[in-house]
Amino acid sequence: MQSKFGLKDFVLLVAILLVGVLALLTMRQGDRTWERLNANDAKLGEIDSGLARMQRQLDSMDFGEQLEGISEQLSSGVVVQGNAPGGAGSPGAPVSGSLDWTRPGVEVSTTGDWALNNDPFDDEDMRTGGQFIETFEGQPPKITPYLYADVYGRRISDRVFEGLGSYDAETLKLRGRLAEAWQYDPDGMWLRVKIRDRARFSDGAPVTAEDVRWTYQELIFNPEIEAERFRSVYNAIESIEVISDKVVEFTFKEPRFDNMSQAFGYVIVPKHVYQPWVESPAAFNRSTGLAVGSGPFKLERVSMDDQWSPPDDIVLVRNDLYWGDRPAVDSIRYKVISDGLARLTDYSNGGSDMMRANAIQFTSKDEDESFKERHDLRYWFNMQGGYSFIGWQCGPRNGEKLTPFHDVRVRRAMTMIIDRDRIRRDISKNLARPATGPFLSSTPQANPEIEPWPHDPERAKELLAEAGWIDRDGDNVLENDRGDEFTFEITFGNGSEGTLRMVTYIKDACAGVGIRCELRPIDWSVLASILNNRDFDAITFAWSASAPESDPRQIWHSKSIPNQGDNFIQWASDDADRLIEEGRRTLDDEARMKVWHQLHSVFHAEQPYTFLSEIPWLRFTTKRVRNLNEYSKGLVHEEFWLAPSGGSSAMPN
Amino acid sequence: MGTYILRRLLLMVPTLIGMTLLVFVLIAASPGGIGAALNVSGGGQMEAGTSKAQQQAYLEDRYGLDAPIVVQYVRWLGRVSPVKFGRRDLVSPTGEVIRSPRPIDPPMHWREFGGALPEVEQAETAFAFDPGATGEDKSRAYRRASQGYTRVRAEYVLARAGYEQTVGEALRAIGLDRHVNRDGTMKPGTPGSAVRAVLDDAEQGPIAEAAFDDAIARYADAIEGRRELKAVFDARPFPPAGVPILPNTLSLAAPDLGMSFARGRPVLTLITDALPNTLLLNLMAIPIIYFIAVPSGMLAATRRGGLFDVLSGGLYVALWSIPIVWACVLMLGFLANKETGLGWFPVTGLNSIEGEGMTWLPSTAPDGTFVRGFVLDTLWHMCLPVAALVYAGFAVLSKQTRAAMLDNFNADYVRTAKAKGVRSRDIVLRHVFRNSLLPIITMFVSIFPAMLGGSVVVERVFSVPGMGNLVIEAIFLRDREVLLANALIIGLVNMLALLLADVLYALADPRVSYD
Repeated sequence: MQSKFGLKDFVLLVAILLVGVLALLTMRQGDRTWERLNANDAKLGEIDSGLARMQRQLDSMDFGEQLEGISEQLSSGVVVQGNAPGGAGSPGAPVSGSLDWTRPGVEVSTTGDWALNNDPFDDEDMRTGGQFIETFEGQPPKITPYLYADVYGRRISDRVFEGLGSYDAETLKLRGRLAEAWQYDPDGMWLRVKIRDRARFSDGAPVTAEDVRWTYQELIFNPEIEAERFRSVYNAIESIEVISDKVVEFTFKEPRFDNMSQAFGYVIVPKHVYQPWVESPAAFNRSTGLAVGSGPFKLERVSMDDQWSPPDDIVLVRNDLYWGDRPAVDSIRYKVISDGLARLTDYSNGGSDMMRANAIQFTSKDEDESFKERHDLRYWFNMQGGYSFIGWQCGPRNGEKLTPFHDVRVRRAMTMIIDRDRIRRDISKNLARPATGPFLSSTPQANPEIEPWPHDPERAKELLAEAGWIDRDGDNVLENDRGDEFTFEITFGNGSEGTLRMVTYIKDACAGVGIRCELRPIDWSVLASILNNRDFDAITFAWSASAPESDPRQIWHSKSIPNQGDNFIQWASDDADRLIEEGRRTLDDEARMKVWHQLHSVFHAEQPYTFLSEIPWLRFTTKRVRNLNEYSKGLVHEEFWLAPSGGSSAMPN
Repeated sequence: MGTYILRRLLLMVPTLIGMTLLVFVLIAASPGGIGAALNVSGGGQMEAGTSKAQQQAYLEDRYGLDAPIVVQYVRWLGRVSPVKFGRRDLVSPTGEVIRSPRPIDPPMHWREFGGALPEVEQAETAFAFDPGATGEDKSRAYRRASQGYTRVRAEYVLARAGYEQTVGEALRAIGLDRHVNRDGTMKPGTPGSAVRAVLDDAEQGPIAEAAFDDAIARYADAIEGRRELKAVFDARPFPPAGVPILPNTLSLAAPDLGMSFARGRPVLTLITDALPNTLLLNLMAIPIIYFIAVPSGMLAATRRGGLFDVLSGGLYVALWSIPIVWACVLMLGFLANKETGLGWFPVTGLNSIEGEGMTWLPSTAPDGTFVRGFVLDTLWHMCLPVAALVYAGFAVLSKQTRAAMLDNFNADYVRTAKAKGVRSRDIVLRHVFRNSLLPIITMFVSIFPAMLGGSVVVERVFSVPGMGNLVIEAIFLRDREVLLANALIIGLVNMLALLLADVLYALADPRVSYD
């Protein structure tokens, strides 16, 4: 007898294994069904309790009293300022029950109801439901408010959270969002805000004054929370006092133009949800997806043990308890594809509804008729676009050697050497707009009278000669009176083909007038230390903004030179310092804009940066996305609705 | 054999230390340094509105990046070492390892400003909890102390940064530029005489003095806060971590791989998130390589010089020489893109969007349509990445098999077997193949650690969130903890695999002995 492991045994063994695996898989399947069942149950319970709560609210509402409040207000002659388009006085929007929360003698302002600029429910053929899918280029590590550090985190935050106020998408004026009405001290030292009675978080709890205070003082300014990025931004507020359940008062450190936008800007989190989490700061700092707010969208599962974490897609679902205009789509899904080619392939395969395009993709698809049949190519300028520039080192590089650019004539000459129109034409494919200063031309901050410097190498040569840079030994390179050659390095982030082509062009243009320009590509992670050490002659990148009116102090004031401030070009101008301080102190909008216009002229004359272009937003969207409006604020996802697939489907084949 | 294995195991410790030290020094020496990760806000656009110096000082203190490199490395070693010295750390109820608060350095050159450092008053009796205090009371007390201390420490760090900057500027103003760092702060090694020169200067002296007074006042607050926290810590509010060996001197505890700087999450979680995806891909790819390469190597060896040998050899080498980036792009363009190609395969990820809602196994929906099911969906998504991992792998393995087989074909025992009249099929399968297995087994052992590393290109192009993606992003961001943890784990697995290979040699080949 010989025991032998033959083919038969093998087949048997494989069969047994297969049965085992199948049994395991079936068990897994049962688990999944069970999980989904549970999730559905939970959702049903939530809807049920939400309904009950609303019923109770309806029952307890006393319409008579509210109406009385309005008439009382009208007869008492209180000035109610409304500056929103069609805001104040729209039906069903009582401004306020009574005004007993106010400080006497100070004007009460309001912008009426918070409403979408283009409500999707106004479209006749509008359909609700569906999932809008957007592609991100990078993976956001976390979306927990005040812990996120990138633009993706902010985009999620914009959907899930609300501040007291928000910029109007079209006019870019600050409007009350959670705030119903407010009083702002004419001297700019305090702000008293009445929160809307209707405003509530996605769990149904009302937004209270205590939430507003707690978010600022116990979350953002809690040193155990890693919110240092936000602590250094929201620094205008001295203290916050809770006056009553719905009334809160801010006290500011000094009268500053952006006091209001700071108090209105930070997003409010529900204290009752976040307080237990913040109790264990280490776990909170580590969290990835603890986002619960009052916004029109919400995350489905949010708890310490069960939260969104990378690399899952981020799915925001409609907040059915939202107090304002409800969005039309059921959910938004954000997925991440970091490889450019894969992103475009996935998009054109119908994998998503919107992707960010670069200039080359945009222009090549612009000629592709079959692509244009199925997709919209969108291209517009908005406040988040920002501008690109070349910064000239006006102080000593590395704290050692002064660069030629400390001389304003040299800087002006450099601007005139570089043909910015050509850069825009050849590299940005005519999609960008000329920039003349740090204020975007669409904002009131910009001085409309300023024309960009012309491209004029001859005049540039004259200016350089005036500054002492002449070709003294006939080698086609300029020298100063000490015989030093005019050489400089231009620092740029590697990885972008467009930037590489631009700096190569600049090198050529400089050679044409006798300046040696060397290229110095760097890794983005090194940028911060190069800026901190002021270790560059010239540098090019782009600034972006998140508010329509920017505070020029951070980048341009001479006080931002020390302490590794953001004035990394070390440009000090008494005129600019004076205007910046004056502008920051001026509370009146019109007067302040005049100051900013003057400041803009100073930038133009001094050319601390050579302003290259304003950067547009380029987006591909599928035809099924409707009511997508290209606002000067950016995009408002709440307004989108999705046409049913069929007639103009996202899916080819 | 036993001593040999033990010796090899012990030798691993210095090797690992040397390796991680090398990685550590490389990161520290790279431009931007260790802290670079903390400052990247991604892409070419930076958002305006933050004060760098404050952020930096706060974060450097928080992550201990202001200490000298050697100290930082030793601290890291202490955290990952399973053997701990001294009193044991504590474990909070949320599973956090809590260490004794780090000491605080006084402001540089405090001696030059005259006067002494503020003293910390030692309490007469050590802090103790009420006997009846519950766990919750204790953790509340600890939290209060910790919160207070974090606050004063942060304030001190900011004040100290301001002080160093002010003195730096004063030094520059009186012409002592060589003692000033590039970023405008004073250098750590500035001699006392230079600081005294600043103090003697009529204009700069009072400014520096004021900055110092501010810093020293905050310092007093900070050490007081630290004393309070230390007292609470020493009263042991939480259970200790690990297993004791010698009380208060030696203990064993789980290694702590730390937190990723750039992502703010524990490194261990990042790895346990990424590793399964990479393993899944490789566990699919490697059997495919073996099942195709080994038989075709055998076949090529038996018909040496024949058509199959030449064709398969040529094909495999041709595949092997296709750059993987190009192959991935071609696959995307021709197989995945619906417009320019066939569009048979999905482009990214390991699951479709509907995947999560699908049943686990393939099934038929109530309306009669076929549902792929989660398993099939995953397999479908893995086709292209696995193909990209596989195609280049045939050449080496099939050539190796072929060479080993050919070696054995010429051996005496094969001739004897032939002479005995054994069927040639049996010669190939029973005798030659078994004896040629040795190099193939050892090759597998060396492949295993590479599997953990993942393939950067494939994972990136097909958006697979695996180890390759994790490591490459960590390199871009100089994410020290992630890189060190990876170096440690891959190094450890590599060395264990090599040891296993050596042991297997001895077991398989009686001629090899380690005694």
